[in-house]
Amino acid sequence: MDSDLDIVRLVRNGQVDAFEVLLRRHSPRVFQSVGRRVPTGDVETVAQDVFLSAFRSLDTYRGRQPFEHWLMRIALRRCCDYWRGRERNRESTGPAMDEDGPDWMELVSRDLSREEFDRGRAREDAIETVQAVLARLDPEDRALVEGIYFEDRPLRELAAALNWSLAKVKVRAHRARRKLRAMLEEKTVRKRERGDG
Amino acid sequence: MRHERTETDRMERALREVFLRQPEVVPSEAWHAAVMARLRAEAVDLRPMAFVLASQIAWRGAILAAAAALIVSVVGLAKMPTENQLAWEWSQGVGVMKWLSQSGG
Repeated sequence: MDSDLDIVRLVRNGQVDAFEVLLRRHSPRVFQSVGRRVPTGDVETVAQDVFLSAFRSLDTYRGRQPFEHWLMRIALRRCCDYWRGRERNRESTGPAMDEDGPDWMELVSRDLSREEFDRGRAREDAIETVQAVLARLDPEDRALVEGIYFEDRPLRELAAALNWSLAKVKVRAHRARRKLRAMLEEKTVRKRERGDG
Repeated sequence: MRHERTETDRMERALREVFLRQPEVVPSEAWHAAVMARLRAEAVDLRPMAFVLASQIAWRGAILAAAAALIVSVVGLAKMPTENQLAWEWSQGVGVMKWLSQSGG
């Protein structure tokens, strides 16, 4: 089987159809990453943008890192672009953190098995609320929280993807997490007040 | 305060769980075909792109060379001796060589 770099060379030499091998090889991983970051209905569009961007900038791929890592950086940037676009169109707020809505956290923290969680409406409610919480962060802050604190990805990878220094990533990630926790604390206080009242 | 922190920790963990447990979207055959069709239709030729990249590098090189030449000229002019000094040093037979060596020429 040809390596990714061999295929990249073929495409650079004008064999556009060879790109299909890369597309099929890496699309599941791109879908997984994009699928966690954007609403389900937009995953295909964003994933397509990822591969189009990769194709257009194929000449900048030098083979010093695995092709998948290079592609995942592009995916992260396209997801940031997606949320920036939504912000511009004033759609970023998405579903609100509904005070009277389903207590998603209870649903999740009850240690439901994956099957139980996947089955019910609980999942949809929980995902909707998570998206609403994350939508309150800047696109880059959101990417840092998701990448570092949720997916345990290395700081260096995020720094390279966002084209930032390692120090900047550390500072921004720390601030982003603080922002997220402040939002959650606010919700905790409100919940307790409702309980007391 | 301690209770709040514990509650926030719990919520943060729950957020992470939900984020990681989102349903996976799988690329369909139609999606692969659509992306390839888009690529072919765009007819993005990578060779002209390589030419654009090469021309950008050439331009940057030319600008750097021009800036370096300008710096050398300014330094040369700043260090240039006055006419009297030059005449005196010229008479001693060292003027031009000294000026040239000082100005990096």
